[in-house]
Amino acid sequence: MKEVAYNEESKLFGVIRFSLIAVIVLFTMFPIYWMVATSFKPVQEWTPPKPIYFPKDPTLYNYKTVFLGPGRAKGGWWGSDQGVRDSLESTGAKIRISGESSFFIPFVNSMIVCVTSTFLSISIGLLAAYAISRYRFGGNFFPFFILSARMFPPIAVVIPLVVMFSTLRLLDTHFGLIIVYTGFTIPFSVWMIKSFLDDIPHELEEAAIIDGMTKFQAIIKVTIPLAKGGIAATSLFIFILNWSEFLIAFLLTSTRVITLPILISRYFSTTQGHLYGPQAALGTIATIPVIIFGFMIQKHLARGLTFGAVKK
Amino acid sequence: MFGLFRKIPFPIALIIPIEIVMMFLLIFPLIVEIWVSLTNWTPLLGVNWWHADFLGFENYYKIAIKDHRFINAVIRTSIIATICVTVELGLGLLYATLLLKDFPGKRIVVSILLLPMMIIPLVAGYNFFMLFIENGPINQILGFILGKKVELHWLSDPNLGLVAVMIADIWEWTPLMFLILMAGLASVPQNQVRAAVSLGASNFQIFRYLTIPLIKHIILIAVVIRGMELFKIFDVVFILTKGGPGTSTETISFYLYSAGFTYMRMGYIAAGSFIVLAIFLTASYYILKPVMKEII
Repeated sequence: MKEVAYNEESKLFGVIRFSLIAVIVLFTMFPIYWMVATSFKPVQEWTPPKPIYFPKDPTLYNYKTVFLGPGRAKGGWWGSDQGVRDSLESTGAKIRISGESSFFIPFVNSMIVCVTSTFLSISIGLLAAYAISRYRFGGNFFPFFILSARMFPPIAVVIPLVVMFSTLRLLDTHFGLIIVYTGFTIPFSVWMIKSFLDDIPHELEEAAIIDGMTKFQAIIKVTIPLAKGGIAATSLFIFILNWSEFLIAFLLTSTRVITLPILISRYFSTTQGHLYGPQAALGTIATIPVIIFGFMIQKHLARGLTFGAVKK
Repeated sequence: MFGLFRKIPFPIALIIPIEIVMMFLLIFPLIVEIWVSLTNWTPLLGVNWWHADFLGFENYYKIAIKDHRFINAVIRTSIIATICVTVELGLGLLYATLLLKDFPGKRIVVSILLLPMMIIPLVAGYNFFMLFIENGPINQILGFILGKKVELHWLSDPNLGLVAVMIADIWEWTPLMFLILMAGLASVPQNQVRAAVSLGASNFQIFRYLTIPLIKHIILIAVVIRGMELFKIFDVVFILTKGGPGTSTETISFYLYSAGFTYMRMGYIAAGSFIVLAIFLTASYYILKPVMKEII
């Protein structure tokens, strides 16, 4: 970090500055803290008359419920903690991996869909980004055409897709979701990878071509190794986008291919949001991978979200 | 076969895959959407969409002129977008200015401030659902500040519901503004700042007359990107208020979803979404072009 050259500030101003920083950190952390805290609260502490800031009697039942599926914990949710314990222990000795309510199937679905579509989006986007970066393909029009795909509200594109997919029998399949996710993240991958490719001198590829490689080999053997870090950051970024996506999955899937956000919304809507503990636990689990990936690409986040406009 | 492939110029060969995907996911759906929007098709008819009755522009007329729910949703979304972008820009500038100077632990503070935008939007909406319930912490904290008992029904009051949605969005996306503006502030050349200081400018003057003009285009990018995303707002509304009470917090996306998928009037809703698409395309063409030109 380089030295900043502004005027010296007075002591009072420094105090104000740090108290403001403390306030914004609190404002940022509080909702996240509340979710994590709620995920450890037993049933009596979910919505007491006075909110409880620190779980008095922390438990892991909420996580257990998420792993088993609430169907395995029949009864007792509205009664005492004892009821929850009994129902969990009487039925949940062995973990059942089936049905929409369990956490595992949606997790696996999310993984399949996100990993595959991220891979496709990056491969297709890399080629197009190369064409734009090195050949200025399509002048200004082509990059903007790609970007405009991102400007559509997803709902407006999903409605005809539902119509098309119902005819093609692609509704509620992994494949259908994968191509839609690929298409929706391609603008990000093209623009972000393009901004990384722009930083790599094209003379290296030209040298490789003179040495006898084909143009395609030069991409594979010279450009990709040089842009490795950027491509990895773009992949993680697109994985995060796919992992968090809700609306498209919600409209294109119904029973078979449920992703994690859909499961969260199901937990929520079947109980009008009253299953506080397990929901918080599910939210925490679903968020952990995204936060880890997010921190790994922290310095590239601005670049990704502004389509490579802000480089830092 | 392969010989034919060789004849294609290399740049064009590179973009064939993306063209196929865009064709399948953008161009073809657009055609389907235009056709369906001109018919009375719903899945309940039991016929395929190309067999539906042709209505002409009736759907367009009904939704854009007669349907107050749709018009209200458009107006409401514009209001949400304007307020949220303004607040997020102000807060983002504040964050970025506060964290301009180095201090021990700055990296950790920056990482903490970036957390909300990594949270799944649906989960963020759910977090705020927990905070906004009647005997939840927000009412209690407000009561503590005001010194009396506060029992606001955040999620079942038409106006407060809108405020709740906006607070959740501001919480989640101010970090993005902050991140972009921080990158902008870091790009301000320090020798110019030094020159201004030695000429006797105050920090405020430097900020107003040097920093802001220098990062103007970055502010513009941030505002455009956030504005575009805000017009699509769905997840938070879906969790927090479900568009209610009544229709008082319906946004464009939520209206299209609820009208389209609860009553399954596909033709009608396709007309609505085509209007939205047309507005978005025109707007993004005019807004984005000057912005992106500065960057390429």
